[in-house]
Amino acid sequence: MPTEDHGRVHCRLDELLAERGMTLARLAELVGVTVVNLSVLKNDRAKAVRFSTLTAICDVLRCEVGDLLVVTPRP
Amino acid sequence: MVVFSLTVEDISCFDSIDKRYADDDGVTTMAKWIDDQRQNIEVMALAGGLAVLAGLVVLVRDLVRILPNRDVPVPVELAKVPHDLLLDGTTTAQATEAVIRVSDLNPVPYAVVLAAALLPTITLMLVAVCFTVLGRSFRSGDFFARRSVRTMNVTALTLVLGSVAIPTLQGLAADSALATVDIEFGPTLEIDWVLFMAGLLLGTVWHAFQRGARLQQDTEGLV
Repeated sequence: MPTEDHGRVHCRLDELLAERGMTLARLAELVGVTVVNLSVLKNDRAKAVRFSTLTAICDVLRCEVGDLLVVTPRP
Repeated sequence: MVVFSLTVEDISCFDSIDKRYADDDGVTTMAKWIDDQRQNIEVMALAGGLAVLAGLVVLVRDLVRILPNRDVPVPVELAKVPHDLLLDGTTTAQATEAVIRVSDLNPVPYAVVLAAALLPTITLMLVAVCFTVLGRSFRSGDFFARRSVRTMNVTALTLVLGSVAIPTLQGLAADSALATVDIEFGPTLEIDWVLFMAGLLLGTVWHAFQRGARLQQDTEGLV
């Protein structure tokens, strides 16, 4: 299982929240995930994301998975 | 009660389960469990530490007795040939074990007698160290610490190997001691089933902890 490249996945949660004027705490409430875990995701510290979490976030923010997660190019 | 006061920025995916899965008040079921069990955990760690100290004392005592190679006490099983003893003129007792004192042993028997005397204490000390390490890990909430899992593995292996090595070495030591008075028994391979089962049991627990450590590693950073 390749694990070396998980650091290249950038989560755009900050930008999406700013565009919608939503706080992390409100998103956590709507999605049903703890603020702690959303913070981990927002700060690019997550190593893996459940499909259920991704779906819930995308449903609430009305965006696609590709809008939320982007892969940064290799240095 | 242990209460963790946290802000979102304090937490990363590399933090302990304690931190990441705290409820709104910052208290986790694990924190509550640790708090409830703190006394038991501390007693376990303390008992382990005391057993290590007691083991060290016994080791030094045995070394002082054996190292000079003069009047070295060697326990000998008489189970094969029980001896009747007259205790107070009328009462008899059956002796199934005796201690033979031997001097000026040759290097090989000397090493066997030394190993037979020290190995049980060393095994006991290893088990005690295992309990101390586990107690410390449990106390800090890190149940699947690599150090604990490794210690368990080493202890389980030691117990299984000790279950064969200890009685066999003791048998060989007894044979060596009896050989000095021209009594010869053939060498036998014996197993201490209690130690063996304890080793297997600890090995099973080790396997469960190893799985737990892997699961914890897999879920770290999972959102």
